[in-house]
Amino acid sequence: MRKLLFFIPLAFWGCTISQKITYKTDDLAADKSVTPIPVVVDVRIFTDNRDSFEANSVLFSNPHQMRLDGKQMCINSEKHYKKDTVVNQFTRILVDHFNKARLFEMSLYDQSRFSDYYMTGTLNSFYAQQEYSTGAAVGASFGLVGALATSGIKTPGKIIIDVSDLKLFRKDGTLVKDFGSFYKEYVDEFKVDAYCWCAFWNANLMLKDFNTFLIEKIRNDMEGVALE
Amino acid sequence: MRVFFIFIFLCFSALLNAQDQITKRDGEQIDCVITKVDEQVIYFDFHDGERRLSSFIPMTEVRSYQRGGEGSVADSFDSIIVVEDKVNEVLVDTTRYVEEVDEWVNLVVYSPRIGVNATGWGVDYYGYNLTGSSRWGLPLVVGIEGFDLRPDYFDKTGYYQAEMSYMTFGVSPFYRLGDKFYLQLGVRLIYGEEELTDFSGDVSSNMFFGLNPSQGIVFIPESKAGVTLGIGIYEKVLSSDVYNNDVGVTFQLGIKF
Repeated sequence: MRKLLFFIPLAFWGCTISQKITYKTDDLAADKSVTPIPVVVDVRIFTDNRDSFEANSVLFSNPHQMRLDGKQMCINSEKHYKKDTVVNQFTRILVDHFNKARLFEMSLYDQSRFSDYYMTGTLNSFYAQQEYSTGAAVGASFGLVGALATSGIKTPGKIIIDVSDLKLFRKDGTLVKDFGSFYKEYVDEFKVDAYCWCAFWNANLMLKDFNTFLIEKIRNDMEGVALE
Repeated sequence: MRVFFIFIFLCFSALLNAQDQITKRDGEQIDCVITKVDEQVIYFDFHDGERRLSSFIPMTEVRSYQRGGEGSVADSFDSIIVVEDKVNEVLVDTTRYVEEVDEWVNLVVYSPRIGVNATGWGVDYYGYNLTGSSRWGLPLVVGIEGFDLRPDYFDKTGYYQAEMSYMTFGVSPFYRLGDKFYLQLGVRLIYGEEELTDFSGDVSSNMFFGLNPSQGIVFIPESKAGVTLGIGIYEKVLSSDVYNNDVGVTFQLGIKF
């Protein structure tokens, strides 16, 4: 019995739930009529600059449910992205989205061997906060029926996604195009869950929207750019 | 020196002219430089302190946008209204973004019924079309119910035993009070037969008719699936020899799918 009590805390210690930065891309497949930009691009893992922005600091030092400005909040706390770094995951899903949207002839994730171009970028913010819902928590305590009854609850939230220094280079380091910064602040009512994981899920949903329009911006900005 | 100040003033004016403005539907205004307008979004650049950022706003959130500079950006958006007395202001025709709600809703509801003269239960299926343009929903209703007359009430009828079977038909419309709450007003006609056994063992049968109005408040979640709750009252007036009238309370627990 004494041994059992000794092992229980260890079991809980290793039980931090991991969240991923990902979203469904099957519905993003571009029509065959979309002409991709005729280059193979190595998208290098973005530089993580989030800790330079004070607003992001709550993500690094708090659990996913916390008190902020006097309210219980759900945030996409850094500690739950520990299976892989945020920038790795962010870049990987961006590459996946590039390929589904046929932005370039082919986009590769951090793999320079088969590409003549590479793209770099900096992630300044991937921040999500939204109000905790007591209703959803109470609903969940009534099992499936309660969870169903409260499944439509939404709470106010804010999601900020900010990338900068988005640049396309030739393999020899010559700058082809500087796309600058792309920023979006989503302020809306977002779906909530009983356990405060919603901030992670909603951040992913908004990232899908963000990347969709980022791709359009890149496509627009690349019009008329000479490629070898 | 004077020439220098005039030069600065002209430069500053030119900068102001380059300033565009987007007015959101909630009244918030964004000072920016619009870089592209298409059917879905407006792309724009703005300054956040030292940083120059590009962003976008869905057209569904835009009431109007106004250009300070001329001819720098092409619109590929054909549903706009140009306001003539305000140079370069474009009102967005937001009616095209109003998403019409048109949803078929299924409810299965269990309702225990506690009446003055009988207690019972009912299971009903409601199917109706929820539209954004009307507050009323007129459901198709199919249901079964069972009830027991209270012994003290039945004892006054002078019969030893009674068996009743009946069908109801009518309407049970919902009136939307809010996003999730509905007023339920129902009227059903009752047609049935009863087989009555008196204390001497003689059996007789009658046809009977009736009217069954009901009123209640129902919670129906906005989500596609969920649990519905309701409370209401009902009244019954019948031509039956053993069950003439009733008034009661009903509670509803159901599933929306």
